Amino acid sequence: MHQFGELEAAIMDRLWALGKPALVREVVDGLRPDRPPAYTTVMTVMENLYHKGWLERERDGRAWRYMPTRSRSGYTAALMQEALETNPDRRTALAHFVLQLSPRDAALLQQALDSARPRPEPGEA
Amino acid sequence: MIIGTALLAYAAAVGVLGPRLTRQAAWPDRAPMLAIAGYLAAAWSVIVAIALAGLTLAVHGTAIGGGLSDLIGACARRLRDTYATPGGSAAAVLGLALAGVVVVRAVLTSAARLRAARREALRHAQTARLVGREMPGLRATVVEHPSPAAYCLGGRQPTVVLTTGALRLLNPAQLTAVLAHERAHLAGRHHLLMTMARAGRVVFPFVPLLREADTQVARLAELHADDAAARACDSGSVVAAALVTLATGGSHEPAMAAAATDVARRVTRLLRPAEPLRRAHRLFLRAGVAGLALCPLLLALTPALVALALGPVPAA
Repeated sequence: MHQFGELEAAIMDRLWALGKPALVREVVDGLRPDRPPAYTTVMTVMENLYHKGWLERERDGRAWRYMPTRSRSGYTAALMQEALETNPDRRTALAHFVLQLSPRDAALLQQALDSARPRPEPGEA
Repeated sequence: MIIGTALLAYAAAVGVLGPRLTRQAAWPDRAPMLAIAGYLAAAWSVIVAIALAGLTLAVHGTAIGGGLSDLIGACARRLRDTYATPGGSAAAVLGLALAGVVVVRAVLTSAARLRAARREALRHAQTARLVGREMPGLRATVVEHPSPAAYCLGGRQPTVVLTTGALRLLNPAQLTAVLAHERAHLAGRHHLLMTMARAGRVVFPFVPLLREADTQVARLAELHADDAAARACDSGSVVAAALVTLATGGSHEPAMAAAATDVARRVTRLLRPAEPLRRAHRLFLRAGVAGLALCPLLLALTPALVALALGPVPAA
């Protein structure tokens, strides 16, 4: 299950890097040249990704050409919006180390700490 | 009837006065996990007390009294007298309805919340793993994004997510602290505790204690994870520095801002840690938590237990 997830990530990586619709063969060739996964495994995982909505595909003769439905940064932006949005219900699914303070509060906190402790911690610029 | 009233009185007392008492107490910040147990026990004991009050209202006359007393071999009449409800079957039906509604609502709400949180976490974790990059040395998924953020997702695929924005701001020691904090959340299954607190609040949103438990469990879980992180890197001030760095490191107005008082409180607590609770104090509090958890059940069963202890009444 976990390794399947890693293969999914590797396939998405490869397709984003290619930047154009690609055949399963082209994806397989780019994956771990030292120990390439089986063609049929990659094909199955790519079909799964297509059914999950991560990939689109178009006919190319008798084969399919696959490409990501969105760019990596597009998915990332949506993910981070979800992680940082205001919906309080999500906070039980997602435990933040600390949320950002508003700039005003941040300045106040920094001020309070600076006056309490003359030597600032490294990395606290 | 007396028992039903006592249970409702318990629910009202704990549900309404509880938050006022705990807000003044200093020990929860010193023993966050114990305090979480206390809040959850108190919150759910209120819900159980209301359900049991309905049930005891229904135990009237011959309906259940006979069977119950046969079961425990005590005197039926004494039991009947204490549990009996004036108003007869109407009150019994009302009681059963109350108990039924509370139980069904509590069970359904908790199940739905737990399921939704698990699904949500799994989906988010899988997406993060696809768009992010696994950092083997960190055992975390790094996502390319300028906003500094570090969070974890519990459940079937426990995942720690860091943004590149956070990595840029943190020095190595602080990074260790952040990761230890998030792993403490995962190891302690805090997402389940927080979901149960949230579910209690959804069942009876008008009970002050249930609202308080929801916010406090989330806050105390952070304190517990802070302590674990401070132990892991052997320094509270590193954790505090990481907190300040991430809380103040953003360049935009955040969509969901932290409460300044919460952050300041966590920082001060890490810089000036309190003495751990003494053993006796801890034992006393544990007994209190157990007492809260058992109280509604004991109240409901008191007459039965008393009857059992006194034995059958000689036939008059």
